[in-house]
Amino acid sequence: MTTASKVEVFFGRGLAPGVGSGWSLPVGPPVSSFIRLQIPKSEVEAELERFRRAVESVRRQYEADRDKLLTLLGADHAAVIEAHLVMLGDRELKQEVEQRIREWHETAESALQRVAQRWNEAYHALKDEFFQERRFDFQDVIDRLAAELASLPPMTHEIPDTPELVLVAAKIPLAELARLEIDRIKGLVTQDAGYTSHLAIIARSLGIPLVSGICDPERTCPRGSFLVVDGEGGRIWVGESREKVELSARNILRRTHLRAVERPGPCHTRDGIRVDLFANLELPEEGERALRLGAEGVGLFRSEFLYLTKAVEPGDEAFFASLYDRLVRPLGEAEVVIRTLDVSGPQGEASAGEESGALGMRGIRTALRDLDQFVAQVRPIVRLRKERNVKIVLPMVSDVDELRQAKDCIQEIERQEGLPPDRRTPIGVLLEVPATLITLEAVAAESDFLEVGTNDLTQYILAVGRRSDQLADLYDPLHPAMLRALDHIVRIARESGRTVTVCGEMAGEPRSALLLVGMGYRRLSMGPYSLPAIREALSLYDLTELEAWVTELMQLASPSAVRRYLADRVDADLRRRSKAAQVR
Amino acid sequence: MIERVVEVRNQRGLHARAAARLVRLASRFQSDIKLSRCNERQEVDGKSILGILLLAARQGTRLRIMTQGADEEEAAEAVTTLFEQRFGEEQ
Repeated sequence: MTTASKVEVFFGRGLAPGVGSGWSLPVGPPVSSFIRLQIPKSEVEAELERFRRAVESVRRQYEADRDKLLTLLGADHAAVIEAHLVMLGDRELKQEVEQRIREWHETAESALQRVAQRWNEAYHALKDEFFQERRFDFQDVIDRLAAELASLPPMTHEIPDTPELVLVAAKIPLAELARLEIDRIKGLVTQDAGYTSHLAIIARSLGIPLVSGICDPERTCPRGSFLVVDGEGGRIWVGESREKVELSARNILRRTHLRAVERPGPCHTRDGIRVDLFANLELPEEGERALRLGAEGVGLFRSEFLYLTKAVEPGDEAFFASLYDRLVRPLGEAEVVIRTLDVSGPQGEASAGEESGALGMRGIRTALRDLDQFVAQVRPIVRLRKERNVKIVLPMVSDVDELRQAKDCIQEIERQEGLPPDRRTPIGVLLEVPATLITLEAVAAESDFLEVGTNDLTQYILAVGRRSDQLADLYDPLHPAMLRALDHIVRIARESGRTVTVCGEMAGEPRSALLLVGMGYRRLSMGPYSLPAIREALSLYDLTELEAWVTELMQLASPSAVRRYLADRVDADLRRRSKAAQVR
Repeated sequence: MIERVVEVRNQRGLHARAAARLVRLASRFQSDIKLSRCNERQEVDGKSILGILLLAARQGTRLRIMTQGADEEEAAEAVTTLFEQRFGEEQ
């Protein structure tokens, strides 16, 4: 509990960007502490009946939640509840719990907890993050059953009569979002949620900042305390006095106020060199916000994100048509680059011989082996192309042959659709496989434009998985090898007369963005919420200053020397100038 | 007992909805239906969504299907067909 005068800051992981503030409303299911209790043999049947009643009651809850979500968010999100329902009816879960009650005379609570623990451990041990996170769905089922067994129906708390609320719980039940007016929910603070959890996906699509990884949030943020939630920095401020909390978090709050302003004009360096900023998007609804934050268009739309989280068939042309339409329609004449599906195993965790994962079947490799699926993605783009400025970028291309095959296929669709030759869809290559850098002249000659996927490129050039914890310090997008690779790309692109856009995370980090512009890049695409910071950083420097940094960095042979230079020269200077600019 | 090897061919892999479909199909048969990854020993119950999701089977994963019981042939056939038809996720 915080004292009256104190404001505390806690660090977690930002999973949905934005900054929000409001009064804490703990919404978790009541915490029940289990004690392993035995029952006499004579009560076994009654205990089994008690468990079955709990299951039935939770089933009715889920069905009610599903109907609410259906009204609020539509069928796609309501389908989430269906998975919960199937889990609730799982026969192994049921058998194991009943066996413990029947044979070991455990209480239903105890049996449930032990069975849940076993499954949780099994899911936790999975290497695949997506499947690993299904344990949160499972845990929701268990929590509700536990609450029901304790005769404490979940969600009995009253909703305070304040217009700004931050929902707080170790696990926030999705139905809570359905229960409140969305406008009142200014933030979400939770302990366990992953990037691909349904909560995170829904938070991002609704534009509600979400911070996960806060330990025991209901105690950390007691009911009625005031919170500021920074969904980008992954931080929360907590205190009893609104004024004090807002004062502590004033810098981050000020940024949001800046962000509320109208769409800014073009982005320039201090000496007037224009740099075009674009947004990397995963959800079509983010497009308009990205433009308001200063994006010229969409540099990279990752179509697989929604595809993976929803029950969609790979050849479902109607799905892609509606997805692209939702993305493109509100964006007017803005340029929109759509990446065809790049679905793979867990990033960076592929081992030799594995068929999926970073080194396996993904991107264009999948597309060319299953042209029907590829056609289903491309045809709606070609149709949009008739009136909109959409482009296609192909992921995981390794050579010109693959590129030509994909182009042949796209051009065949264009013929079928009667697209006039002057509206031909520009087709670009996402440079991420090192082979395309080594043969870049040939690749550029066959492409209409180039994009650089620095996340995967770093992983492949340095042979370090992006999510390898043990080797995290080896994954360095500013490694001398990367600096040379990026320098090579921008040079060849210029010589070939192709535009080149950097689309990796580094484009959204101020210091890397400055260096990219110093190298000669004039198009950067990033998560929409990085746009204001990058725009500001660029406005603080003349191009010649950035070029001087790059020249010096290119002399350095070791990653440690690069890091030292960046810390001593670049970071320090950027901090100083940002501070001076804020004072102004 | 009948044993078959199938490959997860649908692009989304054996995700919640495909797993639910498999459970519904498997539950129609009397036989025991077990699945495992081809190179691993751990078997899961084809009638349990929790077990199936635990296979973490992305596209391209090869799975062993074992059926045992009165209708083991029909069960093996039906499950194999479901995989081959990509869980009906094609159209």
